[in-house]
Amino acid sequence: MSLGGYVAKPEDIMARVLSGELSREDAVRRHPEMEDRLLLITELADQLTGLPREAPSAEFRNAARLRLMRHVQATRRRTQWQALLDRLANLPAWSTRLAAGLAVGGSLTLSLGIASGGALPDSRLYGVKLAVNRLQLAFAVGDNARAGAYLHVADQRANELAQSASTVDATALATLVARYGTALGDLGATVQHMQAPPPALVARVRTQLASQATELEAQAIVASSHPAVQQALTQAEIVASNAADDVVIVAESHHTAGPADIRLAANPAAVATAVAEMQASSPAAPTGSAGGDSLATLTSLYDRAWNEISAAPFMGHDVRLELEQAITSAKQSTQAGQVAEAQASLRSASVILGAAVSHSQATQYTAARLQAAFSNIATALNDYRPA
Amino acid sequence: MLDAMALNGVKLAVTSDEKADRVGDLVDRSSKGSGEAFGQLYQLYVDRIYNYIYYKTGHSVDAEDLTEQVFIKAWEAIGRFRPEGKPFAAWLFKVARNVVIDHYRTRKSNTDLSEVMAAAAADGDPEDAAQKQATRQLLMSAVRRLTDEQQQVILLKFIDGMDNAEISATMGKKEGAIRALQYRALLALQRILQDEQYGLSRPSRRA
Repeated sequence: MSLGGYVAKPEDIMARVLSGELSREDAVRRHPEMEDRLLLITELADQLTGLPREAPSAEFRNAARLRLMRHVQATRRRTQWQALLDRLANLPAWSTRLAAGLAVGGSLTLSLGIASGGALPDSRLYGVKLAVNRLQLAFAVGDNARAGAYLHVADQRANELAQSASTVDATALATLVARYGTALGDLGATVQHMQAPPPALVARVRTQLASQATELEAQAIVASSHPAVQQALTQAEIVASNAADDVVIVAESHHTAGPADIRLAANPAAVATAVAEMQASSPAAPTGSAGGDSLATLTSLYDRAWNEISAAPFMGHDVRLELEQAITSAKQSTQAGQVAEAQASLRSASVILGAAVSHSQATQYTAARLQAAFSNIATALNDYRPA
Repeated sequence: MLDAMALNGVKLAVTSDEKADRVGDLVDRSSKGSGEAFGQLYQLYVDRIYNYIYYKTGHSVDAEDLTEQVFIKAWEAIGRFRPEGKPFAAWLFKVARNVVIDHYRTRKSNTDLSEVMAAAAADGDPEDAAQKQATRQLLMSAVRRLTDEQQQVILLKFIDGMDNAEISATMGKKEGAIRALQYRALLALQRILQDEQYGLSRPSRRA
């Protein structure tokens, strides 16, 4: 049909009908010459759309995921890590000799080990600390003890990284990241080498790696104004997450508890960081104002909470879904002017989160961030008067 | 605008922007080597990819095998993925299409539609199931006789439910070309069904 010289193309008319922009009846009324084709094709489109969705079985989905994760583990790109690790293969000879000398001194080793335990890379005791680590590894007999020693070393490297990342120069930062990568690599190799890693060891490794990754992520968020530092911390967090994946795969291959059962360590420092960061960066809550501005602020708070949930590390899958649904529901209620319903959905989200922490389905860090986000929304909702 | 995102069969109401942000974050972390993030991408897309391949092959065992291959290839290539404004799904469906093409190149499938028919017959009221079975058999055998591009546009539009912009990104064609291809594919499908006298009823003209 021609309208002011414009001839509508059949495919455009069809596309408008299929997208719902134009009803069939309107299309036929406007383009009677196409009636036959339009009706035949839209009926055919309906039949195609009505075909059932096919989904893989849960067994296939889970088994394929496990095989995929094994493949990921086997092929993960470690090139950039390897380059850094190669430069750090050997510690300075003096530190090893010193530590060996201290070992001869018996109890002196223990006391110096304790004294140097909290030393950071810019401390004169740091070389001693590394040497003590090497001795601890040398004296660890058997895979189980060696894995425990590597885990201890990884904990120390993660703490050093978290505490020093923002104060050291780029070279020192790269060294810290590389040392942490080395510790995790050695730990992973030891656990995977074991024929049947004891469940208690697997649980301990998973717990501590989850805690390390969470702490590093918290520090990365705080370091947002220093891109290089943030990037290094994020890299380290990813390596820790990958190491945790590896251990989960080992656990699954030995029919021990799967990822949903990861028990997450308490991490008060991370919780404090999370709350402070959340409160500092949230938009100001509206104060008693009605209409568009306060709704926009609330919408922003909801979106932020939703993003926090979707990006939260180490959260049980079902918990994530339930929380996302609760927040979406609260947002929709708010937009519909149903404040009481929105508050009920928020309370429900808070209860879900509490249960998730007590059942080890979410980290304390994540829970603290989300509870702070929910609290901000609740405060804003109390003052909100729908237009 | 609200969109529906399927996660393990659970429908969530999320905005398109939230969904895109989340997927973008997962893709970014995956490309940096995070297995955990790639595992989440797998959970997000495995059902859609399986559904697409199932309708492409008509065989659940092939669909499972090829779906797994898609994600393995995606992991190996994700470091080279550059969004450039295109959704990750578009790239993943391209990988899926290539995997199916490779499958047919290396092994001529002798799949028949018996499984599709049996599956349709297995659910619900027998009479209704028989009707569904017949419809699905007719449609799927006709779809397989379309050209590869026509099949692709029909599967993405009607089986996966993509909009034209997503299909455009997936197939690397402009939206106008997608609309035309879609129209021609439907006409061709209708013609095949009529030629074979499959008996889809022709709507009666209104008085």
